[in-house]
Amino acid sequence: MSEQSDENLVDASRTGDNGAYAVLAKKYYKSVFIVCLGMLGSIHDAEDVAQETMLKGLLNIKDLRDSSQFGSWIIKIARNHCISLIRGKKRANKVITQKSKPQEQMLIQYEGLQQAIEKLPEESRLPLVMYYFGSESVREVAEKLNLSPSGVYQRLKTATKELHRLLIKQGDVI
Amino acid sequence: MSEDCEKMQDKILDYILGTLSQEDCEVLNEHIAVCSKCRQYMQVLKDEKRLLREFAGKVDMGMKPREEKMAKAITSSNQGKQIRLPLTWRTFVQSKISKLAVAAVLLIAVGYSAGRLLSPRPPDVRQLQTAIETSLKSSLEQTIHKSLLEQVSRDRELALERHYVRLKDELTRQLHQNISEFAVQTLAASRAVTDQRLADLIQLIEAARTVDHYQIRMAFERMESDRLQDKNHFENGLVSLAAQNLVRPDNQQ
Repeated sequence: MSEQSDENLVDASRTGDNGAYAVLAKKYYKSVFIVCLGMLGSIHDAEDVAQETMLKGLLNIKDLRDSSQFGSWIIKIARNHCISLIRGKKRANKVITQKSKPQEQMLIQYEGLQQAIEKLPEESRLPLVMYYFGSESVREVAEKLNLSPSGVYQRLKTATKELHRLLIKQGDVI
Repeated sequence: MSEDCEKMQDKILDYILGTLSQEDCEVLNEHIAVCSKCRQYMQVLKDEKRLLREFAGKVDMGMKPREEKMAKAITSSNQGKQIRLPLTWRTFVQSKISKLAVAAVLLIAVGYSAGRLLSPRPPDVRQLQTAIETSLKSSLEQTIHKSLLEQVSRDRELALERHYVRLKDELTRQLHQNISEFAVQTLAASRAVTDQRLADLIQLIEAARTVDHYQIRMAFERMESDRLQDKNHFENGLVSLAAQNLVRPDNQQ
């Protein structure tokens, strides 16, 4: 089956074809999820926000002016959603974070690593997550984050160093 | 950490990210061949990178089902099924308050329409307003009360959790302190027992030494007595021999 272009899928979605939007959602879900994971640090929060972002995209697809820009548009929605969630959490001044949902069995062994990733500052966590979890090259990460490749390298370097420090502090040295 | 090691650990980070030049790689290899600390740092970072890749792989494995679930939810909304709306709006739409409010408004609207149709008189706006207020108040009061109770309960739970964390910290600190005190006391007791054992040992050695000394002295005394006895026998022998020699010439003469 030939792959339909984003423009065609967006145009079809505008006319109420949810099947076409489902194809778009499937195509960009991972990118959205990775950005959410990078910004929020928690897999469960990232899942919720990615899902809500896709549904928000469906409700507002008519607002998208350039059909070819669906990818960057949906990522922008996800980032704004994450920012408002982070602000909301800060405003609530929660000393204790929400009880996390039970971890998937296969991810339990990485709990220490996940906690360390959550504690990384967002500016270095996002490139790290995009690089390792999104399997994106430094150039791709740089383009998406509007940074220079050397800037991305520097952030990855800082993130690697900080992650090591946090793992030692947690007592999760490998 | 020496200045050299600091520079090398920076190079190790570049190496881990795959951006270290061939020339620097050689310098780094020469250094880690002789520096165990940097060698260990490099190994740990390599292991952490491997773990990150593994974790990312596992997360990626769960991506397909999530995508399918998402696509299915969107497609099914075509068939008239309810779609999950964003959290805030979804919460409002699904809340009891909104349902009751809608029900109350519908009831009032029906009542108002019936009144308009059945009564020739124009509607009393003030009366209608009071009716709406009363109806809304009676229908929402209980729910608002319940909602407030839930909010208070949530706040209380959060406060309890905060207290729990403080209590846990305090207990942990107390436990550490108790362990330290216990360790100090045990060490002191252990030292006293060791001292006692050493004193006993010294006493035993001293007693054994006294016994040995006594036995040696006795052995010397026995040897001396034997020597004196032998000497007497020897002298007596000599005397009797001399006496025999003196007697013999007289007899010959």
